[in-house]
Amino acid sequence: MKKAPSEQRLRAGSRRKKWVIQTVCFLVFLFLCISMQYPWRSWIPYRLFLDLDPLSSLAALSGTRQFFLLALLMVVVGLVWGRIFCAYVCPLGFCIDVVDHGLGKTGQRRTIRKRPQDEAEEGVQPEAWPEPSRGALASSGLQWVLLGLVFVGLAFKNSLPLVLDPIGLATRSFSVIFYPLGVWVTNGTIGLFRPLAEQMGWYGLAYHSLLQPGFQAAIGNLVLLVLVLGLSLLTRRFWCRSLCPLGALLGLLGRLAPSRRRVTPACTTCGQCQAACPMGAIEEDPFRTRQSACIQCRSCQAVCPVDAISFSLRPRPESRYLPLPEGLSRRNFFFGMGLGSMGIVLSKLDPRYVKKTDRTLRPPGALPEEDFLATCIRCGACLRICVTHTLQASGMENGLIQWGTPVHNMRISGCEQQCNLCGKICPTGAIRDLPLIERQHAKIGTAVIIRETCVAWAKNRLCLLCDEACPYNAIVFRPVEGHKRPFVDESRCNGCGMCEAVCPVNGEAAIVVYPTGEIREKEGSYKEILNRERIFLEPKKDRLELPERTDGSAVRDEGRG
Amino acid sequence: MKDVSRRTLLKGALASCLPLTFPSVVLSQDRKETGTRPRVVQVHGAIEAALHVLLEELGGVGRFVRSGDTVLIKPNMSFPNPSELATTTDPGLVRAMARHCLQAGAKRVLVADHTMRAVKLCLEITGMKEACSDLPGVHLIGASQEGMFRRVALSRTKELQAVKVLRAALDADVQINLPRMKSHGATTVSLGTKGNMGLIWDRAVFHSRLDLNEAIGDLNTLIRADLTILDGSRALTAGGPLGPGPVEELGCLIGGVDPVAVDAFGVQRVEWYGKRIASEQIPHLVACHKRGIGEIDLDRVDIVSRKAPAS
Repeated sequence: MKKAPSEQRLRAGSRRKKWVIQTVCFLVFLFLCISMQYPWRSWIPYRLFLDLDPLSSLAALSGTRQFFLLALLMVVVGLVWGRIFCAYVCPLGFCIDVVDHGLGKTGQRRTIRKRPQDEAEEGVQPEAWPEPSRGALASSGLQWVLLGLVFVGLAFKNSLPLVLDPIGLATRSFSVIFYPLGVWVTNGTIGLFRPLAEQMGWYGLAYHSLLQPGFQAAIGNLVLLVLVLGLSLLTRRFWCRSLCPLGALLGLLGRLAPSRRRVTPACTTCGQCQAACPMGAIEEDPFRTRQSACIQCRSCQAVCPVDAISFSLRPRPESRYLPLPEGLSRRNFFFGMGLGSMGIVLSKLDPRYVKKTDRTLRPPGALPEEDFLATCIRCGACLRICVTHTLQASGMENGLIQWGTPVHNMRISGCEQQCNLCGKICPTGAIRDLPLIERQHAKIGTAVIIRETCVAWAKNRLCLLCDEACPYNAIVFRPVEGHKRPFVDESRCNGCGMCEAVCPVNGEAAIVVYPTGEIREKEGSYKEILNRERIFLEPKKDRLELPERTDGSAVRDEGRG
Repeated sequence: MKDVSRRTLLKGALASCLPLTFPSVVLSQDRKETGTRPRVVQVHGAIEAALHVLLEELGGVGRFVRSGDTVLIKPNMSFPNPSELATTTDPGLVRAMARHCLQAGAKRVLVADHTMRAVKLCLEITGMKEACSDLPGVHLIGASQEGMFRRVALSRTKELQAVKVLRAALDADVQINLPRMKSHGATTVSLGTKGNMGLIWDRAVFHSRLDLNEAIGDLNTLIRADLTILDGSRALTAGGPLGPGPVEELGCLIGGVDPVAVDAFGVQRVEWYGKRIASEQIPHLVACHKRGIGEIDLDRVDIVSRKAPAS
């Protein structure tokens, strides 16, 4: 057990290196999530992690985005280095590692017998190592069920199973759980110090404010995240080894990867590598590695007392490996596919879709509903970047099939006319990346006035808040019975919901946006479609057609006198 | 500490009360009108030059801003529209005014509005951010949180009992109102007196619970700008407050100390919704006038018209 001090330092160093790389990747991920806000800056690769994900790129195939270079890169990396992404880059993997570390979980030393050659020297007939154990939950192959679910979902044009994609899960968790909490704390702190800051003349600080978002699906997402992280109570990286569909895909890709763990005969079968492996990837026979589970984190190499373990690229794998990924059986895969098909058929029979009673409002530029549900990976990036936080993650209220997809809550706020960021950030093109003038023509729905509750209609109040708020001049006032009363000019209504947001009536607003008249197109110009339908959402003087900056965000006209 | 005799103390206390006996004298000499007739100045020309002439006509910026003052400028920057739509104040005017204040020795200039739409977009697209970013001592405030406002109870008002006002506005030494001349669906026009609603938090009750026009009158008894300058470089003559609507290029600034007189002149300056409207037909101006905030009858106002030299 004695090691030379320099060797120990070396080994500790290699483990530290892994933590450093992981932390840096996680901080980059955090930075990208935090910086998802107005104004759009073209130099920030907001979607880096989401673009890396081959599963989201598969979903994007039914969308409008055509850029899959990063996902291809990931596939190549997977073919060569297997699941190295899981060990160093994955933000969820980092969180799970931190939880594991906090729980002080270590693996199990399973080898208690001598090396085969020692046994041979002692004249004992070496027994064969036992076959890999099956049946335990951690190695039951659930991830293959989930991967089957994802594939059948994509085939049936539904991306719901991708709510379990680790990158989408991490991004969405940030959007709906941690960002709102962060804003709450920041604004609270500023509020506490406001009198002091005013005294000191730090007005920038005293009046710095972040719009407080809140999400109806926050608790649901929190429960999911806690479940995923809490699985570590069972065993280390339980999620990664047994459930993660992306990990399963990378494991499948890396099955014959040239980079793999190799063990020299110097191995004393002490079993320390088994205890060190966070993935349980080392079999009872320490020479054998479950390639589909190995994330190439080299923890085993760092603890080996005789330096028998190495990781290297060689064209032909020479050490023994399991021919089939652990737990991958036809039965599991087909089980997942069967379950997925049932779920999807059942949700498509949901009366909300069959009878068109669905009242959800999608962000402007969202693909036609069927394509949208196929393409939206529920990553929540649009929820994060939305300037008014009108976009909400759908919970169960709109059916399981819509869970996590963006829907408008116009009571929170309307959809900002001068903002097209949700389409810019969408990693799969489920929301089209539209120039502002097109976005202004992407009709979300149509507002309807409820005269029984409208204070201008029912109480003769001089309430014109909806008119004051309407950016499209779609509210017109006509004298009725001697009072000014609001009407909606449907040929000018974008369905942006600014009216619904400001309506002073408590509870359900007296002006409500319905999805009636929404325009959802996979390609082509919304402006042309609307003009053909005699709907004109551009102002008469063409003054709202703001020039676009090179990075595409809205900017005022430079030519003022 | 030195002993203070009763006599010295009483003398000192009396002496410190002396200025209180002449408040009208003290006030009338700087920030209030000197004569009995309020004065409204209209200056045509490019914004910066026009502002210069206008301030000269009103007695110079030093009459309003003293060294060490905290100045609050209240423009319209409630909507993410460029100034060309005439729904927000021209950022050039705000910048020029802020520079005048700084030259007069203002300690800081706060440019504040409670925006109706997303703060960041409003500050960016109206051009205010760019206009103010390089001026030291100028802070841009897009008020969007209740904590930035302080509740003030009003006595002797009928409609409005209490209102939450922007803290910075309550604490400022000088208030300068720079509204855009624009139409308004509910109040016909939105000029200086209506623009003060940009400094309060709970605006929705003005429309739903209260009588809007009377409530504006009550609000103006609390918030009174020391100087009001209407941005008439362009006026939105219909379709306001948010537009889009017809824009009339007036190319003038209209300023004065009496907010009602300035508004009254602004009302008569253009045709709103295609027709001439008398200031007495604007209920919230009448409400302000009735509360003694200012003069609505233009026959009792000195009107000065100037042309700024072309630069």
